[in-house]
Amino acid sequence: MSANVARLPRVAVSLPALIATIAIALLVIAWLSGAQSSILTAAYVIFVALTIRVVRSVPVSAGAWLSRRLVRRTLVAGIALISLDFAAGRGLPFDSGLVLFLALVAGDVVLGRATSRMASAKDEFVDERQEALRNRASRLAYGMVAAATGVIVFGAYVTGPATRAWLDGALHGGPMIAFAQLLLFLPAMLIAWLEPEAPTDEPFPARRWTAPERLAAAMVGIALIVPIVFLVSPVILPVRSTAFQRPESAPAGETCRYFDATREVGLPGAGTTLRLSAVACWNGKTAFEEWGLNDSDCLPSGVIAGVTRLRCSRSVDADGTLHFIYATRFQSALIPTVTRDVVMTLVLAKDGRVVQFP
Amino acid sequence: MSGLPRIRTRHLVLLMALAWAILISPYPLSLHGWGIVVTLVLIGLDVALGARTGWLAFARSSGLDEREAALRNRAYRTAFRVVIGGILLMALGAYLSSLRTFFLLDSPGPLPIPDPLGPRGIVALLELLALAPTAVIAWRQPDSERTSAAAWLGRAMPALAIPLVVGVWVLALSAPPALAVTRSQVPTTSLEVSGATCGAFSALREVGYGFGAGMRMRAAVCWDGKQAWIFGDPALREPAFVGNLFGPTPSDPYLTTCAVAVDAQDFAVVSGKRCTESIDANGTMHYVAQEQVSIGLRGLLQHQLRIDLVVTRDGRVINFG
Repeated sequence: MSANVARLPRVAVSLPALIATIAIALLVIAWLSGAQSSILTAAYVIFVALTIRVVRSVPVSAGAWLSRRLVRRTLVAGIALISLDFAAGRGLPFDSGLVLFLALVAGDVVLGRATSRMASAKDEFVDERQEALRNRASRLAYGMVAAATGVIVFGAYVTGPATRAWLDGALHGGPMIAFAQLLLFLPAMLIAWLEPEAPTDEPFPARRWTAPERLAAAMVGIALIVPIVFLVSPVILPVRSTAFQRPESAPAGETCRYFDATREVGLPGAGTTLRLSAVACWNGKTAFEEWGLNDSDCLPSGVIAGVTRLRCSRSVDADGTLHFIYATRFQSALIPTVTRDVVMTLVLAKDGRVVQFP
Repeated sequence: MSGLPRIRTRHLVLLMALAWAILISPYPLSLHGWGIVVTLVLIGLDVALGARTGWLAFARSSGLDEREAALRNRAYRTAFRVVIGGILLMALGAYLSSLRTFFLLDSPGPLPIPDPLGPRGIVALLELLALAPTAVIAWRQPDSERTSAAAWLGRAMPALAIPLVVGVWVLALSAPPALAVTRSQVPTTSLEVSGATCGAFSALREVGYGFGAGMRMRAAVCWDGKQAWIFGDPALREPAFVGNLFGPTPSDPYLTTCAVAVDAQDFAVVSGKRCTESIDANGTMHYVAQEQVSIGLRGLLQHQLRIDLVVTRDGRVINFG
């Protein structure tokens, strides 16, 4: 075997650059589609990419607490357990697994600190011992990821329809988060696990945070808080409503009216909008729907998780009064017991009197 | 080290990358049965690269000196990045494939049957995971001294994997087409015909456990208490009363199609697909989809695939699969 190692040319693609590229692509798509929520999502992704870049630019050391092997191993075990939970099929972030996902992200940030971000550091920033340790961790991690992924994917594909359907779901669900976690952070997890106990006589002098460190911490905090705000906003912020109506042309003997109303919940521009857009008519004997008051019209747009349609019904009572009710329940992703019901109603009498709207 | 000069080693790596790119690329649309050849070429290149590197990536640590261990471990760290890049490329390829399939070929219909990654994607993923470290080591290997033919032959022993893979593949293909996936939605939300109830039906029957060929069937069936019939395929014989009631049946490939799935012919060639419909005196509809699957470049193995769907005039499904 030869000792001469010819290195591959370093490709100037970093994780933040990659995320930023994807975000810019999302922005372009969002701009083309004119979707405001997509623009906000892309802006958030760009902010996350910037946060990663700022965090990585700040030198870190594990400190007294994270230098302890027991603490590091506990952290790794916690991250592994959350990853296993996602691998077992927990939903994507903006679903029931949000808290765990944020815990996973926070765990990865702490993991980077515990390992001095050795796994992804440039060669010039690691000494010989660290280089050997991270390379060994990479080999072990690679074996684990390759064996687990290969066996699970191949096994699920050839075993039968049920396992293939599971694989299809896994590609779009929680298991992908577990896979990404292993692919991006398993070497760091193994470094944290393998790194020996730091000598106890080494002092860890207390010091004030530098400005870049404070900025990085603030950005990480914002990046973690934004999704939480986004998900609790539908049940905290007031509902914003609009409504108008106007006469509509109608056949002889009938009178028609156009009704338009919206109810937006959540953050402005990034929430969910319920819309009632319909024409209803009356002829003195009964009121009736022309269009827009059907089951297929009860569709919220810009849907965020935790939206359940409670009711979408249209009826005409014995007096000839038209009743249309569209009720939706918003559930907090963080505290499932916290809910808010939003109801849109149109009650139109046979003589054209608008009893209730919206 | 083997006698292959360095330039050839890197050429082997590039060839391997090219063969891998063919697997993940949305083009060509179908490999028309050449998928197994591409797979075997990849295995051959794997063996050549493994022999060239002395299978360093898989060597036991106890048998390596410090420099070899360092080279090997460092290659694994690089391989992680290669795998991440490869998976992103696969995701891009899958996205482009889905766009192509949706807009140019055939929409998945109301009840899609999952085919995650597909056989090409599975082979590409396994190849990426298994051989990325070896490819990195091979790329980084300097020119080296020649080894004896006997030693090189010893390292090339894993080439036995090629006949082994062929044997397992032929064995898998020899098994009868047992895997049948069926999905149905009755009544379907995708079709409303006044005076009748309609259901959507999808099915897949395949040979070779995903590494052969599969026949997909998609049909919308309506019934009105007197008869059941297929909706959405004007090529099928339409009951006379249906034409009288509803007018000529429009073509709706989203609901009903008898087209051969072009993108399901990577490891086999499919031909002669035909779909027939008959309605008996009781108004029960019998729908049969059949196609011929030829496997191997010269049609070594042949299978007749068939999916039956029998629905009574009141919507009872008598046979499906």
